[in-house]
Order: sequence, then structure tokens, then C-alpha cells
Amino acid sequence: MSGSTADTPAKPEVRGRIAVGDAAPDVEVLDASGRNVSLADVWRRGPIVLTFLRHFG
Amino acid sequence: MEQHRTEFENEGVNVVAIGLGEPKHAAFFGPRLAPGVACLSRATPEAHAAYGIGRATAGALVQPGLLSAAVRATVHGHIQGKATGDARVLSGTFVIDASGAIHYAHYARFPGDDPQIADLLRAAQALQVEVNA
Repeated sequence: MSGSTADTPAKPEVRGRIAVGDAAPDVEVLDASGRNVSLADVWRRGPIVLTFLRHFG
Repeated sequence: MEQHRTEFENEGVNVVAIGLGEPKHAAFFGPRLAPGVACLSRATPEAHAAYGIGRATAGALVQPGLLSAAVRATVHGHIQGKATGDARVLSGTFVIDASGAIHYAHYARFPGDDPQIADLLRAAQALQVEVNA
């Protein structure tokens, strides 16, 4: 399975890098079932290693 | 990361991945490439941008380290197919505690510039020390 996310909208503005001691930004993403997930809800359940992948595939 | 997932879990730290793509891509690739990792997605790079993760420059795409990373991935059975999202977006890895504080941050300088697992584990172990203090 592969696919390209066509109709890519304008690139979001990249904020400054975050550093040790900073507060992690809370953003909304989707789980594999398509449900909205808040990252804050994820880390409140316990500490995480959060890795941002370049892509799937 | 999948190969070391249990080491993090032993430290009480779960591994969560966010990919550029749609839930169907996470549902397809997650169980195949990282079956124990919570795999989340977003079709556009807002989440990456919120963490300060940008796109690779042309120079970053010809780094010598990129070739060795590609060889390393191939040796582990990962054959690059057609990718979702934006192949120039870089990766990043963070250790975050239950209050949302960052304890470790790694920004890839080029595709395949992954963090050292030992550094990540040290950050995870330090969290446990703080919890138990």
C-alpha cells in the first residue's frame, strides 16, 4: 500500500526548536482509526518517546 | 525504535510515532514496521512544525550519512517504496514526561540522522530516577 497526500496545502510555519526543559506543544493528530488524539492526553498517561517520522512507506 | 521498544517500556516509557500521512497509512504500516509502537498520523506537517521540525535543504539530501542510513535500513529489511507526505520533511525525537516537559530533543540534520538509542535510554532512565526520588 502506498499513497501520496495530494493537494498539499500551504506549508505551515515551522516554529523555533524546542529544548530540554521546554513545554511540549500539544497538537491534535489522528490515531489509526481516524479518531482525534491530543498529544497531551497521550503523555498524561505516562512519559513517552515521541518520534516524528518523515513519512509512511 | 521498534527494536528497542521493550527497553523503553521497562523504564516506564512508551514509544509513540507520528507520521505524515493518513490513518489508513498508519494502520497499514504501523503493524508491519513497528507493531508495538502507537502510530499516529497527520496528513500535513503542522505537528512537525509545532515541534520546530522543518524540511531538508538540498545540501542535507546529499549528506554522506544519508547513504549509510539507507544501507542500514535496507540491511534491516526496510525497502523504501512510494512514500506518503513530504519526503523532504525531517524527523525529530523527544522524550516527554507526564507533565509535558521535554527531557530530550533530537533534530535530524538529514534524512536517516536518527538519535542514539543510548542517549534516549539515558533520558528515559533519568525520568525514572526523578519519579523515584
